[in-house]
Amino acid sequence: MRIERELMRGAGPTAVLRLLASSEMYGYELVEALSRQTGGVLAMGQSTLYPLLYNLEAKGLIEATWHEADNGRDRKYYRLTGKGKKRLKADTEQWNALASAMQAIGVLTAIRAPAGGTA
Amino acid sequence: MTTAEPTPSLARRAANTPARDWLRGRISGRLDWRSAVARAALPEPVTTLITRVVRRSRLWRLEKADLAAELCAHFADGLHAGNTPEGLMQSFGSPTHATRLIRRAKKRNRPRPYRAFIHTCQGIAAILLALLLGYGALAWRFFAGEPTVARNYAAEYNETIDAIPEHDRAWPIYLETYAMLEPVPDDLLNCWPAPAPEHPRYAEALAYLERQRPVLDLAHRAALLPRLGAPFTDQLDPRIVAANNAHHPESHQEAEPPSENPMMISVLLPTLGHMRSLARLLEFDAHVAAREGDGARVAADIDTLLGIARHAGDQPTLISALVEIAIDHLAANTLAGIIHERPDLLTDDQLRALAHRVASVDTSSIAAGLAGERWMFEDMVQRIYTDDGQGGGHLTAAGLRTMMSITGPSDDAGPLIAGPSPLGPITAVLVADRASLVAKHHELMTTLEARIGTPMWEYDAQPRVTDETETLASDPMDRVRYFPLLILMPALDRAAATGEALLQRRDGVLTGIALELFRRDNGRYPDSLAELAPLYLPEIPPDRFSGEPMRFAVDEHGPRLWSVGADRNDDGGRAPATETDAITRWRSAPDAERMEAEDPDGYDGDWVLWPIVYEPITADEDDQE
Repeated sequence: MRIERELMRGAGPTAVLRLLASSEMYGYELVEALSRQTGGVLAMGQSTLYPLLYNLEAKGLIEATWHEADNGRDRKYYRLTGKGKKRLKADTEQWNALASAMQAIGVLTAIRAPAGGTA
Repeated sequence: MTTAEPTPSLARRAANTPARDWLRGRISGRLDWRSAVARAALPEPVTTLITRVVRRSRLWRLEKADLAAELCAHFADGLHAGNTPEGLMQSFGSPTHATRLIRRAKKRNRPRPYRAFIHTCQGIAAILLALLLGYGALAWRFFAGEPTVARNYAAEYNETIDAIPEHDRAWPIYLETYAMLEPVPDDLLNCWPAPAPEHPRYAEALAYLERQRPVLDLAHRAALLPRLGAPFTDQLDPRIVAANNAHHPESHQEAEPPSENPMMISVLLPTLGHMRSLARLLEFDAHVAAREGDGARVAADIDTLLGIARHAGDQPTLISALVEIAIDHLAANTLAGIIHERPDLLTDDQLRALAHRVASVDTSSIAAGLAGERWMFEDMVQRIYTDDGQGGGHLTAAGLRTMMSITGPSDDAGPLIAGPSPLGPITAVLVADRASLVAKHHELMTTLEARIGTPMWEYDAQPRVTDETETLASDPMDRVRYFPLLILMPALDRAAATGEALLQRRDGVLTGIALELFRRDNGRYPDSLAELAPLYLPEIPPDRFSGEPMRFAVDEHGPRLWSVGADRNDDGGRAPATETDAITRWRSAPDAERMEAEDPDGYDGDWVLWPIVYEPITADEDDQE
C-alpha cells in the first residue's frame, strides 16, 4: 500500500526517530528496517530518507558519527539526541491521540501490526 | 565492478586537504570526493549516479565529501546485502529530486553564524530589491510625468488689453518715443540727468534736450491717456527691435514671433526702462524750465512724470509697481526741489493743481502687482507639476528643468535640489504636492496683501512673510518641501514698505506745498501744522513711521518738516550724517535699533521731508581731477 505524500511527511520522521530510539543505525539499515518493520507501508526511497535524516540532524533531533563497522567499512551512524527523545515522546502521544480519535469515529476499526513488523 | 583507483598523488591530496587537517599536520585529501567515490569500486552506473548527485548538489567541498562517502557506504551495504545495482538505483529514487532535497537539508546543517549571515544578506537583498522597485516606480512617476499647461495667463490679460479702446492706449505713442529717443550721449552719462549750469557739458546737455523735444511732446500726449495698454508677451515688439538696432547697430537683434502661451516669468517689460529714460529727461527739462522761469513747463513736466508713473504701474507685475513708485518719487522730489529753489516760480493755481495731482498718487499698483505675482507663481506651478484635475499633482523632471532654466540651480533647497538628477524621483516625493504648494503660497500672499494699506507704524505687530519664509528655509524638511516656493517667491515684504515710503514722501510734498501757499497768503509760515487744515490741507497727514503728527519747525532758513524715520527717534530734524536713504526704509524695531547702534552715521537721524534741496552735479569726478 502506498501512503499519500502528506501523510508520509508526518509519519516518516516519527518512524525514523522511533527506529533510532532502540539503537544507532546507518542509512541502508534504516531503509531496510523501515521497509521490513512496516511491511513496506513506510518504505521510502533513499532520495527521501537521506534528506529526512539531514533535516532531523539540522533540528538537533539526531546526531551522526562516522565509525568503522565490523566489515571494515566506514559507515555513518545516526542516533537519537536528548532533544530527539523528547520529540519522539511528544510525537508518540500525538499519534496515539490521533489513532484513538480515528478509532472513535470508525476510521480505524482495529489496529494490527503490518506483516513482518510489530504493533 | 570498476577497478579501484590508485591512491591520489601527494599534491592532489594536499590540494584537497581542509585547513583543520593541515593544522593537525595531516594531509588527508578528504575533500577529494571524486577519488573517494572511485576508491569505493562500485559498479559504473552506481558511481555515475553518486557522482551526479554529489556534483549537482553544489554543496561545500567538505559536505560533498561527506555526502559522497555516505552514498558510497549506502550502495556498498546494499550490494553486500545481495541487491543488484539496478534495484538499488531504482529504490534510490529520482537523482534530481534527491539532489534538490539533499542540498536543501544539508544547507540547514550549516553553522548558525553562516546561516545568520546568509539570512541577513537575503534580507538586505530583499530590502534593496524593494527599494529598487520603489525607486523605479518613483522614477517612472517623476520622469514620465508631464505638466499640463492648462491656462494661458498672458492671453487672459491681453484680452483685457484688447478691450481698451485704441484711442485710450498710450502704448502706441510710447513705441513712437522709443524709436525717437536718442540714447544719452556717453559724455553726459556721468552727470545725467542733473548737470548744473556750471557743469562743463551743460550746453551739450541742453542741446541733447532740445533734440529730444519731439519725444517730450509725444510723452506729454501719452501721459494724458487713461491706460498704457501694453500686452504681455515674451518677445520684443518689432518696432522696439528696430529702434534697438538703429541705436545700437553693433548688437543686432532679430524680431521673433511671441510664444502662444508665454511663461509669465518670461514676459518682457521693455516699457519700464524706457519710461525711466523719459522720466529722467523730464526731470532735467523741469529744472531747465525752472531756471528759465517757465513755470508752466515745469508744471507740465511734473504732470507728465506722474502720468508716466501711472502708466508704468499699469501692467500687473510687482516690478511695474516699483517703477511707478520710483517715478512718483522722482516727480515729487523734482517738484519739491524746484519750489525750494524758486519759491515764487509756480503760480498759486499751478501749485494747487500740482498738489491735487500729487495727492492722487497711491500705491494701488502694488496690490495689482501682487496679483500678477500670484499669476506668475501659478503659471510656473502648472509648468512644473502634473495636474490631476482636482488641483493636485506632483513635481516632474520636465517641470524641474523648465524651472531651473529660468531660475538656475538653487542652493536654497539644499544639495537634493540641483535640477533633475538621480535623486530627483526621491526629491519629488519630499517636495510638497501641487495643492499644498499652492495653498502655502496663497497663505503667504494673503499675509503679504494684508500689509498693503497698513501704515508702517503697525508693521511691528504684523507677521512678516520674510519671517515665515525664513522659518521654512531653516527647517531642513520644509526647505525641501517648499523649495519651488522659496525659489520662486521673492522677498516681497519690502514692496508694501516701499509703497508706504512713497506715501510719506507724497504727504511731505503736499504739506510743503501747503506751507508755501500759507506763506504766500499770510506772509509767514504757520506756527504749527494744525494751522494748515482745513484750508491748505484737508487734514494733517501722520508720520507713517510713528503714527504721530509729522515733526515741524521754522527757523531762519524757513520751515522744516520731518519724519522720525526708520529708527523711530526724533533727532530734531537732523538727517543721518551719510547721505543715504537708509532712514527712509522701514525695518523692524529690533533691526532698526541694532543698525543704529552699529552705524549711527548711516542710520541715526530723521527723514527730512521738507525742504528738499536739489543739488545738481557741477562737475564730473574726472573733470575735477
